Amino acid sequence: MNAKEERKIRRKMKQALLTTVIIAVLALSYSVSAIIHPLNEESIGAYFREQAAVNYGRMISERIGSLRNINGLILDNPTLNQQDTQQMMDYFISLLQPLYVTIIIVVGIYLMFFSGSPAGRAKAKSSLWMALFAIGLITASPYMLMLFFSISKSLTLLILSLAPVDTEGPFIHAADYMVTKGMFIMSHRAQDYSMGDERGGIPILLATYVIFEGILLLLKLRYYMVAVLAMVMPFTITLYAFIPTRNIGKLLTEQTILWTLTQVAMAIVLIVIAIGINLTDSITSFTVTEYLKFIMEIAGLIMLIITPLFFVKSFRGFI
Amino acid sequence: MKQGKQHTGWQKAAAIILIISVLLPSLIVWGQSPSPSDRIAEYIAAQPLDPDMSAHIKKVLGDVAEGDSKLYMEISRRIDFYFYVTEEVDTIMRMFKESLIPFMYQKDLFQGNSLKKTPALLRSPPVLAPLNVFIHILQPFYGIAIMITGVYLLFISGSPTGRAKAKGTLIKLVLGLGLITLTLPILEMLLESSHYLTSVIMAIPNMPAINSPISTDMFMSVKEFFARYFLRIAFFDTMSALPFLAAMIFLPFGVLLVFSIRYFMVLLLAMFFPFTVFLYSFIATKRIGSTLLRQMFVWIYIQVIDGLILLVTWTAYSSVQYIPQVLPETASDVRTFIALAGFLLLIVAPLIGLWVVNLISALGLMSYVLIRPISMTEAYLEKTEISEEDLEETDYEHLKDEVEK
Repeated sequence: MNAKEERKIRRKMKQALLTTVIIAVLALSYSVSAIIHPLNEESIGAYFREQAAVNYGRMISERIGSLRNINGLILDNPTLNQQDTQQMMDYFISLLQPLYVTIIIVVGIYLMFFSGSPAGRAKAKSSLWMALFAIGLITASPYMLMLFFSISKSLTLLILSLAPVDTEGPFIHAADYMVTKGMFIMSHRAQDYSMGDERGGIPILLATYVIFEGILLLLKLRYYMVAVLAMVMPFTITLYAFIPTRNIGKLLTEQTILWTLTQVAMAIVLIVIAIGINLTDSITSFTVTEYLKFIMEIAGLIMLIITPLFFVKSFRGFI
Repeated sequence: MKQGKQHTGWQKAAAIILIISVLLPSLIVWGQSPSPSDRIAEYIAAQPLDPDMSAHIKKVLGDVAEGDSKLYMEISRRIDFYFYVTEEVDTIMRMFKESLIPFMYQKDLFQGNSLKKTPALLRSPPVLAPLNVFIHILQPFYGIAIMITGVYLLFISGSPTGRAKAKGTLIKLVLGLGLITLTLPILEMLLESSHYLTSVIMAIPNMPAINSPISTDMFMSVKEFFARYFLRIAFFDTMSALPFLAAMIFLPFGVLLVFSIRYFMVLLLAMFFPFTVFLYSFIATKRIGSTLLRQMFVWIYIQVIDGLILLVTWTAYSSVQYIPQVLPETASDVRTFIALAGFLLLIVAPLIGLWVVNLISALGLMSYVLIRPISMTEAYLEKTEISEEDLEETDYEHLKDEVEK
């Protein structure tokens, strides 16, 4: 065998060897990936589940953080001497003042030059007094509202001070209970393997989030309703002053009073819940289990959510 | 020689690559896969299971483990979720069964425990403190209102109509003052009467002729019914099984939630009772007072409706076997649906209560029972004060009607 042939054989051998190695590596990679891939996918899935649970927990914690200041949120009223609100109210007042001034001038002219009968004069006089009274009310409306807000706030503060324990305690306990359950279902581990199930855990965490967000939303809704109704107060007075629009004025006045006093109703419900939960330790006719206490806390939360709506709906039409 | 060495070098390199390519992935696989099937099987075996079901699950898991580890893990997760949920639902149902009737009675609200020396919840300091504050807030208002009406009666009023009206208001205010002082005895009386009525209703099945005391075990059949469907579906698709799980959890949860709301509402309306009476005294705020009074009656007497629902459900549940049209194989399902109806009725009981109170108000029974005596007292007191001359001057019959109204 000459050198040339030997080289040729060696090259072929090299090629055969290389092919074998490539085939072996490829085949092994495929089989390895078949084993590793599902496990990787599994651990990625577990990671996502755990992260989703952690993020939900964080979101709920933020809401709980806001609710720790529930007394402050209930007491919160729009400040009417704040620049934006004041500007808006001043604008409405400046719109209405010329209207009333015109009415006063027209009635005055009628009284001085046109009125003939005593009945007509009496009517005109009474209208004049009414217009003067209304313009006074409109100009003083921001201060009247401020006084009303401060009375409502003082009453709320007094009621909140009657709570024997921390008023937010039951809600925080309920939230902790639900978050713990939800996170456990989503991301608990057994023998180092993630046994969490997002389909079971997410509804619980979502419900927790919705309940707590619901309370905050309603508190904010009350705040904005009061702010809007306060801003349109001059119009409310004007609408109330005229017979054809009296019903609208009445409705707006009533809504202003009810939405402002909602804070008093919420404070009463809040202290009742705190007292009720606190008193469960004194119940002797049966055992109040941890789970029953949790249901009572949820009932309290639901009551707090529906309080503004129930209060405004039930006491409508009192004027 | 040199060429031969080169040849051996290539062979060695190829052999090393081969060994590495075989060993490395094997090492990786070995490191990453601690044979999940064995460990999860071990975990699942530790769960309390029916032997047949255990064997069945073992077989399914064994079959899947050989083929697809991802599917194996997925099924394991579902089984684990099922165990967890079943355990939770069992806890809920056990608690529901034990606390349903005592929690419905809520007798701690008006009855203290002499052995443990605890007062009734309504007389406990946390409730008394706000109640006293509310009474203290109202007392000056009552004082001012009585004083103004008195001054009006003594010095200002001229017409008999005005005098009669002022006198009516004065009587209402004095009665109101008495009522708010008696807040707790009045509420205790109402709560006790409600408790008595409920216990009479609940004792009907205990009578010797019937001798079949109400058992809350009947509600377990609903849990078993939904659990069966939940298990069957959850094994294949957790999402589709969630409505059954929700039904299992929310039915007992809903009933206890309504009872909890009753507990809070009684405390709330008890504390607010002085305001209710005050608001009811004036024509302008009478509507609010009447709404609050109606709510008070609904929430106090709701337990009577709950007792009736329990009695009817139990009677229907225990008498299914006597209905000839119901086949023995379907009797258990019929019983389950009866218990399910009981659950739903207990949840909507406040609405039924509100409907009943509205019906009573519409029939005028409420005014006959509660308001009529007050109106009659007022009318009587006014009648003695109006002279014959006044009667001639004014349309007394019209005035009387107005006052009675």
